[in-house]
Amino acid sequence: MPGPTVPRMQELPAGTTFGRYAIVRRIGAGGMAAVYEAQHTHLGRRVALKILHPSYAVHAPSVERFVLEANAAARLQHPHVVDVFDVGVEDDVPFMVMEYLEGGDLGAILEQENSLTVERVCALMLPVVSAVSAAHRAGIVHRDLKPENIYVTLGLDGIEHPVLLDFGISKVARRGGEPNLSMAGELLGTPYYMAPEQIRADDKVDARSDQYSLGVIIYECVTGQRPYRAGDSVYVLMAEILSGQADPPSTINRSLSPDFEAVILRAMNAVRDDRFESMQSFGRALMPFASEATRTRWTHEFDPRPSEGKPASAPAVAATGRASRPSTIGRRTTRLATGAALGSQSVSVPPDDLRVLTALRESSPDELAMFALLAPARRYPKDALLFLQGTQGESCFMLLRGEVEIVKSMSFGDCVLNTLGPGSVVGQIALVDLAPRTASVIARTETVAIELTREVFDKLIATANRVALRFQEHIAISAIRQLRVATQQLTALLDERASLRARGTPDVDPSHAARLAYVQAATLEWDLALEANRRAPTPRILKREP
Amino acid sequence: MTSRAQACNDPVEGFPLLPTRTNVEVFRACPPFASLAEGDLLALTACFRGQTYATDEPVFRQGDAGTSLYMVAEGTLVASVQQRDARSVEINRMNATEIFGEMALLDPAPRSATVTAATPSTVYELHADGLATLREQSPAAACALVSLVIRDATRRLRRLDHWVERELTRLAESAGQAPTRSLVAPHGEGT
Repeated sequence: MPGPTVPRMQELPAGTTFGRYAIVRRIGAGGMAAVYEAQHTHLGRRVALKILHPSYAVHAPSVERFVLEANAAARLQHPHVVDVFDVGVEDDVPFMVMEYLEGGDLGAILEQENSLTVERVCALMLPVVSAVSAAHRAGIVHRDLKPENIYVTLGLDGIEHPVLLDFGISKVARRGGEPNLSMAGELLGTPYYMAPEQIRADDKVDARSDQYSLGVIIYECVTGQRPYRAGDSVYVLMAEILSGQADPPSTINRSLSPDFEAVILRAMNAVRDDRFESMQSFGRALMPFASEATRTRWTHEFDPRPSEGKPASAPAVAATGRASRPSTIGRRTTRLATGAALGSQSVSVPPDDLRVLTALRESSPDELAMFALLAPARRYPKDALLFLQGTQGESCFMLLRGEVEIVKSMSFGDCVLNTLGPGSVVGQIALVDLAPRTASVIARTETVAIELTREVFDKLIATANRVALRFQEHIAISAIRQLRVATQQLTALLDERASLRARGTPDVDPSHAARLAYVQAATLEWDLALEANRRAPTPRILKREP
Repeated sequence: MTSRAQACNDPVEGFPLLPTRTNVEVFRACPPFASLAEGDLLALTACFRGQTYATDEPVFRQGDAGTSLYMVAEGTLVASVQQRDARSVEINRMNATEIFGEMALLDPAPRSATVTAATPSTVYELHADGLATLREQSPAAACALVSLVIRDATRRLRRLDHWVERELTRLAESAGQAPTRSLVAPHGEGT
């Protein structure tokens, strides 16, 4: 007897029929979809049924991403990639039918056991490396590798059998320059395992980003800790990842051999070019640490070849006692790449729109056209991060449309210092002074901005371009005014301290006064809009520590 | 002693700098201008004017209106700041090829310090009008000058930022607060 029709609700109760499948129980739920154990009503076969949440079913990009996942997984025939049997739409709700797996995910195993032996990690990860390698050969980058996406079942021989799940945000190499889903402007991926390039620029993600995530997973497996685990703010976490300054795993698990540690650190190197050149090389580097049985099983795929047997190295560890260093030698900072904000897209704007910027207001049409060519505008979705406090900037952002917030992370929480709109320029000091950003800039609304890189700026300056020279003077003037304001602020602080000292026991809470003063100083520091008609900033504390 | 800047803020005061080899070499010895081409150095030199100062004679005083940049050609000068208790504190000494007062060139404002000749000195001055001429005649030299101003301002700004933080820490400590954990991403050296 058929069950009731599918209700439009988040969880399908047991006994519900969804197409040809009867729901047994819900076994998992993510932000966009739920996974159920289900049974084929005619064949009796047990399957995992993944159903897109109805509210996403009307959202075209979500549907497209869901279908992409199904297609990506279906394209892969690999013993360690979940099998996809069917994909379709039932009652306007997209669904995917996969093999039903019994066991638990690696995240649950780690939660239970904290850390695993190196041999067990190799036994679990070599198959995963093989699966990811197969995906890469098929032109698919997973982009969301994490312990929860590695399902571990027990084979008939009693050996753990990992299976790779969830290609929901995978990036499929396309032809013809079609827009890629990765440009949808959403923060895709799990931050803890994200490669720096995923945080910086979505369109630069490649197969080596998956290698980074696997490196982080292995780090966690052998230490019981994630290398980056800031819990207060996703921005702080991202800053840590960008810094590449994880503690070497041997500082947590002292039994790790330096050679194995070097493999981990090379895979999760913040500098993409310093990672293994391929998953195959990564797998070969793991082989010496596997048990004999595991090595025998994987020799056919990861047979060490002398020509590619480049030893894993982590030169920065010896020098600094820290994990991988970014390319900016001597500084504990990371470069932000061009198009730093996640999910930004190129956008064409009429040259006359550039006149909203003071430095370009009096430019000739030719100058505007040339400027637009050298420094194209990009559209940043709401909440996109234009740049991150503490990272080394190499560009400024000239706002044409929308609004951005200047957010400064301080000891007592994140604070919105100011909101800037069209005509404002943020981060321009980075064009002339290599130093970390002193605050983060986040799109408050969808924003269109020109990112002027140091490289382009230097080229313009080298040709004594009039626009660049005008802009350079604006930078100088803003820096001077900033300096004067900061001087006044420091004077006020010194006065405050002297006054408190003179009074003996302060009758005000000095830490409160200090915080206010600092907020004010930071606000003024960031009030760098080059427009005369700007609003007075009102600092707003986003959160406080408990 | 009244400074000449206060007595007469006239850009034509002083002697014009002829683009002689000696004068040009003074500019070439100044690192921000070292990489300029010969023609740009000549244009730069021609936009400055020279002035000699006797020992203890002020170039400008704290609070004077400022619109010029100066470069020491010869001698030693002292920058000092008068504090609220009327004490004067020396904050810097400048020797040949060093530049001072550069911020007022781009953003006129009262001088924040007094600069006095510690020995008989020759100083080259670039007024805002001279910069306007330089922009037309040698954009590369103008660009080098502005870069110099930016570098100096940002360097000072970062130093100031440290002082502000230090003061805040002291204030917090005086309230008996435990040091708070920083949420800021790791900072580079010297920032």
